[in-house]
Amino acid sequence: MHANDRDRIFGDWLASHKGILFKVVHAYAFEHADRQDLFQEIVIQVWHSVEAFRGESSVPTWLYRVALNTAIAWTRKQDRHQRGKQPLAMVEALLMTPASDTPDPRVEWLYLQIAQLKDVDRSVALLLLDGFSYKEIAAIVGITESNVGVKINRIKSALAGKRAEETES
Amino acid sequence: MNLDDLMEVWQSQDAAPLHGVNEALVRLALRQDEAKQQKRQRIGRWIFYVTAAFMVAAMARLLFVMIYSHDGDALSGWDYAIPVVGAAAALLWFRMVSVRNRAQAEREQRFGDSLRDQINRQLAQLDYGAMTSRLGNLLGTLLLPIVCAFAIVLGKWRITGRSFSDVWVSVPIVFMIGWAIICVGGTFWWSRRVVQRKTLPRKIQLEALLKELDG
Repeated sequence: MHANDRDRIFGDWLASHKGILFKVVHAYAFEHADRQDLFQEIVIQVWHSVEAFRGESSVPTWLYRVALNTAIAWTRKQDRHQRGKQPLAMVEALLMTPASDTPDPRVEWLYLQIAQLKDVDRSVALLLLDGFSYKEIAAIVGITESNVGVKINRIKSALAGKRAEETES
Repeated sequence: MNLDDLMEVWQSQDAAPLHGVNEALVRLALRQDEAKQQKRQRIGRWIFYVTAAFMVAAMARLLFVMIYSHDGDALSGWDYAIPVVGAAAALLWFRMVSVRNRAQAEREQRFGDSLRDQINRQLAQLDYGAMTSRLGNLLGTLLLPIVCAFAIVLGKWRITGRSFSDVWVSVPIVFMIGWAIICVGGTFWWSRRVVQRKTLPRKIQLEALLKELDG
């Protein structure tokens, strides 16, 4: 693939689907610096993945796959702040610019609930909320559809329980 | 609020993303990452090529000296075999390391794109790192360069026709044996330390993640 084509495709993906990357970043990183770090990591992996994309799945599915894989690997790294990225420190702080609008409190509540789930359940929750089918979730995460069903039931109960608890109080 | 409502709330982020992207700086970060990766790969490749080329060149020089710059009567056919064995060891080492690296790269590519595949790929990388740090593998990897080094000393000894009791012959040989032991022992100790401190905890985490996938 020619470098210009790669640049163009990457630019298109970023312009059209950056929301996916932000959702994953917010679900897996909670501090400002960590979010910048994870966002950079995901963007780099997306860039490297452009050549491997064969169009066998939709672009959002592909981006979710790359972003979730990167996020899970990132959260498992113990020494993520010592990876020789110091030269990029200034750049990192500016990659993700703040949004002008105030975030919807309901969205914030959802992120709060997602943050309390286990790593894999978090991935399933993001995909579920974005309307992916059981089959697609199973393919992205690498588990059986019945296992997806079990996890989704668990996530739904957790969300419903939390909602009920907050309504009572 | 049911699931459909939650999904609607969630998907409202698509219309109004939580952040903007500074695309110029994203591209700068990508260029830096690519340059760093290419530099790392280039250095690794060059060290490997230069080491192999140096060992073969040293053997060729030894053979040249034996043939042209020395009284041939004093040397037997076995003496000429020294640089040949040394060069063969260097080439074998080069081939062995290349094949092993290629096999590992192919093994990693066999995994798919799902999260489970990604975890398995990482586990394969950790296993490869742990495997190369084992004493047997370490000896296998370092033995051939050591054979080359011994061939140089032995060849030199035969060219000069000195006795093994000569201090100028025995001291370098003893020094080389000591150096080889330090190199193998040091690398073994350091690799074990890395495996204990970094590889094993990470492997345990990844295996826990695999269990979480199935749970």
